[in-house]
Amino acid sequence: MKELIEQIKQISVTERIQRLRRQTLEEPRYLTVEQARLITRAYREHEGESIPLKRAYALRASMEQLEIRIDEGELIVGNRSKESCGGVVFPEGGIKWLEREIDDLETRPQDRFLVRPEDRAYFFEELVPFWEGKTLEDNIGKALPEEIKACEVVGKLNQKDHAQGHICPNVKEWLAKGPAGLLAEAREKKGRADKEHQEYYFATELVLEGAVHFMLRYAELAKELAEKGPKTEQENYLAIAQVCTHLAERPAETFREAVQSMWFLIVLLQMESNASSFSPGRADQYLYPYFRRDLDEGRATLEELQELLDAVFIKFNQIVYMRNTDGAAFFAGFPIGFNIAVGGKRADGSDGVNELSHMFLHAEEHVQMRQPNLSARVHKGSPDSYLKHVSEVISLGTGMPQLFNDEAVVPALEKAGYSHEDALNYAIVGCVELSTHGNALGFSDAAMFNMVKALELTLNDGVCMQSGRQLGLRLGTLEDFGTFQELEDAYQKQMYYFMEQMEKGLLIIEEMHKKYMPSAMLSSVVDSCMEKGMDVTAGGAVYNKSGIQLIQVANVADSMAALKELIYDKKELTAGELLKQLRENYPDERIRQMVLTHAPKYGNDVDWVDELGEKWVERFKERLDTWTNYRGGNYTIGLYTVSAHVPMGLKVAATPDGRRSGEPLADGGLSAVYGRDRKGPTALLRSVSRIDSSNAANGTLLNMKFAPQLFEDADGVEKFCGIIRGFVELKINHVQFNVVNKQDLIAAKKNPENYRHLLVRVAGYTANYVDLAEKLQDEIIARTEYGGNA
Amino acid sequence: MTGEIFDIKHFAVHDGPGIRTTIFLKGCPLRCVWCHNPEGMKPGRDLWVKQEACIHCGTCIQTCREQALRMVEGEIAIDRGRCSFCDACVEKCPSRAMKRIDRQVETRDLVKLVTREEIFTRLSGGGVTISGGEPLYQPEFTLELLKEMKAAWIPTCIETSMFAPWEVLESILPYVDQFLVDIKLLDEEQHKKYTGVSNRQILSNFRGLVEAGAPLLVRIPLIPGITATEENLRGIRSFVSGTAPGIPIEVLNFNSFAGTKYRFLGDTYFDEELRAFPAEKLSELRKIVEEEG
Repeated sequence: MKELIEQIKQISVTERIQRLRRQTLEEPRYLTVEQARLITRAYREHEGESIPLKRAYALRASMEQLEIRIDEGELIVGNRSKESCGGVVFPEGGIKWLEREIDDLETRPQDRFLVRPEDRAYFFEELVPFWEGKTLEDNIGKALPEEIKACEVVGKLNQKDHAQGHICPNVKEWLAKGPAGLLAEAREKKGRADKEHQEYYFATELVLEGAVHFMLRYAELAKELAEKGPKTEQENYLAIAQVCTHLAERPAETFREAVQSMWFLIVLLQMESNASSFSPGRADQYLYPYFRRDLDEGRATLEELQELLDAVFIKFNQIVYMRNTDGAAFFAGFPIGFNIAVGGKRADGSDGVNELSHMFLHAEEHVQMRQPNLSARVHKGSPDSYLKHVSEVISLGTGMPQLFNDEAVVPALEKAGYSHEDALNYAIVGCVELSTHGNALGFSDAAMFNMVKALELTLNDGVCMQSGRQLGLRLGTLEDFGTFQELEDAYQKQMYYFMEQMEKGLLIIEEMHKKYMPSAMLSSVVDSCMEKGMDVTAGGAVYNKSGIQLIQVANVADSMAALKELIYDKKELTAGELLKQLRENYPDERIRQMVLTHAPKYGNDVDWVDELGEKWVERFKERLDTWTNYRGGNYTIGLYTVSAHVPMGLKVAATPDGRRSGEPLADGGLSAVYGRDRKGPTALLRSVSRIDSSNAANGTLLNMKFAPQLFEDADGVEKFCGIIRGFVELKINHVQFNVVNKQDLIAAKKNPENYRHLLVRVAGYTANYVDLAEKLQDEIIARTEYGGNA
Repeated sequence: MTGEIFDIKHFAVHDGPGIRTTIFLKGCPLRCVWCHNPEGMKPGRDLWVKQEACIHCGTCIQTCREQALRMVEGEIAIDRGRCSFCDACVEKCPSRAMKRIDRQVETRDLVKLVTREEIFTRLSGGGVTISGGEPLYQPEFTLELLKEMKAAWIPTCIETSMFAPWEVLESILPYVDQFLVDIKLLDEEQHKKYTGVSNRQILSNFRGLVEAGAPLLVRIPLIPGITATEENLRGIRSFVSGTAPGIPIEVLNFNSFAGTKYRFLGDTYFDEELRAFPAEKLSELRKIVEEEG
């Protein structure tokens, strides 16, 4: 194995890969209405049918009719629009936002798209009138009562205008059966099903037929190109044709077929749902038999297999998800979360690192693009050679792989009700959300609960300090709470009030998903749907969770610590003094400095402060655990924001931790407020470990930023491995690293044209730094940097 | 035992093997013009103003009973002759810009502090590094500290200029796993000129440590135009190799952040223009000391 690892690391990137990479980076991004046309036509043609069937007909039409393209030199083919990186208009989800924003797409601060005039015209003349009142967004808008909407400033409800993603399909089974095998199964089941379930199987049949055709169309196109295209590529085109024909007819056999098949599945799911994050999961595990067979039987060389992985890595960057301006601010820089997790324990508890794990790491070294979102699972028994390779890739500065800790994640999943075996086989979906493999609908981004805003309202009798509006319960102001305990009691009441409103909203939203977003294709690759004849949106999966993000531990811990220390314990400030400062956004800098520096902060290994953060996660969970979600499962907690700490911070007034009104909240989810962790990374990690990760089955997020100088010393990588091993022992779920100099970030902000390719880890995903809005750029600059010479 | 320190740094990755905690002892007999820890030079009570953190609110001036504080050209200046170290200004400063430099600490508390880092030090092969100032300037405290660290199974490094009576070095020998020793300038006159003391004792102690079989790593701070000359580096290389073969030498790039600290102390740095060597030049200089002979 050791020799093989070295051999893998020596494989150099081919010219083909470099060319394809360049091409993808340079391709302009356009809005596209092609699929919207096909969907609309299908809905018209099948006017009288049910929504599940309309959806299925629409998807089949897309699979059969969307224009397709194969780029010269491509080894892995397929996309959901002819243009790579197309911004797909997806009317079933909702287009209200586009009505408002289509003209800003080319110039908005974040994630821009070009718009052709004829597409714009079609959008307003055909799409808007036809879809009025029919979309998920419109129906949710109608169904949600105003009083729940009013509470969204605290409990923000997500998933209102697109289907739910964040799912790890059962790729292993998909490879083993192929669309043809699953189709036969659906037909057989349909024959025996009662009337109630027949429709489900019929819809499945429709979309799988479409999937078969989709693959055959690529085979046809490749054959054509073999005749017309350049001689040098003829052999490759014929290979593509053969692979695609095989996949349409039978299960994958070779490594190339397996990789192509996996990619087709991702494309098809994306086409069905236009959602964020269908994640391949543990690809180094399920692709391994194909890899081994090819090598053993001498069908391919290590170099050829590496090139296939490199090629599919590039493909992951050709699907982007067009979000509305708000969404783009929350999830900036096109995170789509095609998450691949390598390494980690096997189902029997032994270590699962294999040659392919290293080849995925090496593909990251070769390709270095935003996607896939590469994750490395680690545990106490992870081999040194693996951790070393992981560290070497991290030192390149792409922010990948991010690390997931089996020692923390597995117990968290078990606590949330997953079986031990499924928990051991966990995958990551999207950014940092945890899921089991191929059998769960985690609804992982159901809502974001802004507990910092809830604290603001608690201190001010339920009145928003920014708008003056009464949003929460009237329980008095900070001046009315004679003891810290009274303040905490009020906070809990206020928090629970907003949670209750949020929960009512969630039930409505999930019901609307079942009604308007049934997903036959997805259901065919999620365990137990096919058996039950039940769509995933209706609860067909084995596990049915809904994930709520709790935001943001660090600001709450710091604020509570300041209140306790300065108002109640040491009495350095009076409640009235501080309240005035908060309401008026710290007119007196002396007082702001006092709350900043006279009270200890989360992230510095001060037990009682960290425990003030932990306490509110616990309290939140206690209430959440009393509810059952729409699909009959339980709610899980996520401690991550993606990049939402910036827009969510906009809506929070000045806080007792010294943060001014509108400033970003802490980044990540478990990170300290930027720059406030002053005792180094080891103290930070100890603080983070006090927030019980087993309560956060939907995932946590910790950002750390290291100076590249750390890796300059010969033993820098080993020292870094020490940090990783420590992280594992401290049982923290997740950590990810930026390895970048502050000066470079500042320079890139000034001269973006020179830093096109500079990648940074934003929050559970990697983005091109120059693509980020200024506020987010500044926030990343402000994060604490470790390991430099200063 | 009580001793005087001025800083503690966790996750020190440039002070010996693995991930370490470095403890900086206050007081040093040398006066290197380039010193990048000027706050650690003199022993005893002192305070300074972190000018970046200062919001110029004047709270400290109003608080001071001794009238030792004034605003000079927009910055707080301390008259150290008047200061009685009552700490009133330190406590009242809203932004904690006014800070005591010296801290009296107990050896057992330091051991506890380093033990907290156990997970990281153990997993990375790190430990504790006693630095300064000059740790041998508080010989009893350093000895006791090293002993207690060893008793707690914490691997130890000491970072020293070796400017101390041989007996002091000899006493700590059994408790040090790795010596990081500075040789700054080989020429005695130059050494006097830039550090204020002769290097005779330093060089003879170095020979003593070699003879005693102490694990040694020689480190040379690269000060542009002073220590970072080819002649000096070659000289040190051949002196070290001449004493015993196989002793490694490391160069430490110039740290241009030191200037700020002088400002906090109301002082000025000897040369504000100096900058760290760029990577290429650095590896050139490194080559000189790596070459045998």
